[in-house]
Amino acid sequence: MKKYHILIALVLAAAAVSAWLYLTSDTRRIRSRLDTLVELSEKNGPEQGIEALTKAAGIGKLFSEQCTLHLEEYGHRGSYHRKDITDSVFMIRNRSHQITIAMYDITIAVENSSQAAIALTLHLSGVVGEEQAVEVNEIALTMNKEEGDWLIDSVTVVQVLER
Amino acid sequence: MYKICAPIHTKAHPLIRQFFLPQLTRATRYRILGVALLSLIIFRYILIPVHVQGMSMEPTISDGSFHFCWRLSYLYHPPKRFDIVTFRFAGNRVLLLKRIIGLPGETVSFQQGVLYINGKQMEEPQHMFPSTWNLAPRKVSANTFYVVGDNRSVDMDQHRFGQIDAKRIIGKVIW
Repeated sequence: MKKYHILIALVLAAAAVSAWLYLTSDTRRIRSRLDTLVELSEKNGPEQGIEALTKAAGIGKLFSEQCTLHLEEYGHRGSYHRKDITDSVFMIRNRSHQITIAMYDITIAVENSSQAAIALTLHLSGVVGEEQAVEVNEIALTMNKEEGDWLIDSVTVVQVLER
Repeated sequence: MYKICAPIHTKAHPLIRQFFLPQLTRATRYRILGVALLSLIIFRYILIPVHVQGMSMEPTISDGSFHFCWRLSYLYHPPKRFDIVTFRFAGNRVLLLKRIIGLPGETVSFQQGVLYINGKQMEEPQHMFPSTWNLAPRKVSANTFYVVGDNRSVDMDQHRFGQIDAKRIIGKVIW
């Protein structure tokens, strides 16, 4: 009976340690940043200017001060300042009536304690003007840890079909 | 005058009843588990069901139709020209379905909707809508295949096509 109790205690302790490690791990923190990005990007109807600005600024804060974008299909390639990204997000929000974002098939590889490579599928749908737009892309992100926060340092739309 | 008839009861053959409604014995539970596992393996890793969303393969493959992709097709030989293949477009869930027109090392071009391979006009086996596509010759890189949809009646800019890495090809559409 005693052996049985010791075994249960060991299993519970192992589960608690694993949960603690997972909750405080970089992977978990990165995932949480991506969840915040999804949450802030959502738009379900008309919004006040100040609300749009707050959300755009919130999204901007998830990016490094200087971020590299490889979004050739969408006319963005090069190094962008955080403010440029905030302004672009604000403009897109103003033009769209509705925005829905989903991220799945997320793989996170923390290369060292301050850099991570993330691959994910981004499903973006929205209503721009009168038109319904749906985009699905494979995205490669790099994130850097700056002062304890994981920030998006580069965004690349993976070119699967090359003409 | 009404005639009262006794209700008709049809009794299934015991073997049929046993097959469809077996008693839940230990052996039956193992059998159900086995069938479920086998189905999972087959339909997840070998014969993948595909639900088509989009018209890029019309008229060969219709929007909304269901098909199966056989993953073992290219186990012993590389994909062939005019095979309809599925490949990973984004992550593991978003697949695209296209026709292979160019093999590694070949030069692909379109002139007024007609396909040219290495400068030679090709006759495609499938029925197609009229097309006026013009695409300058381009060489297909090593370990890639040039894929395009059958629906070339749409504007070329609105159609997703090009060369894809051979590693992204999942299998051949067989039905």
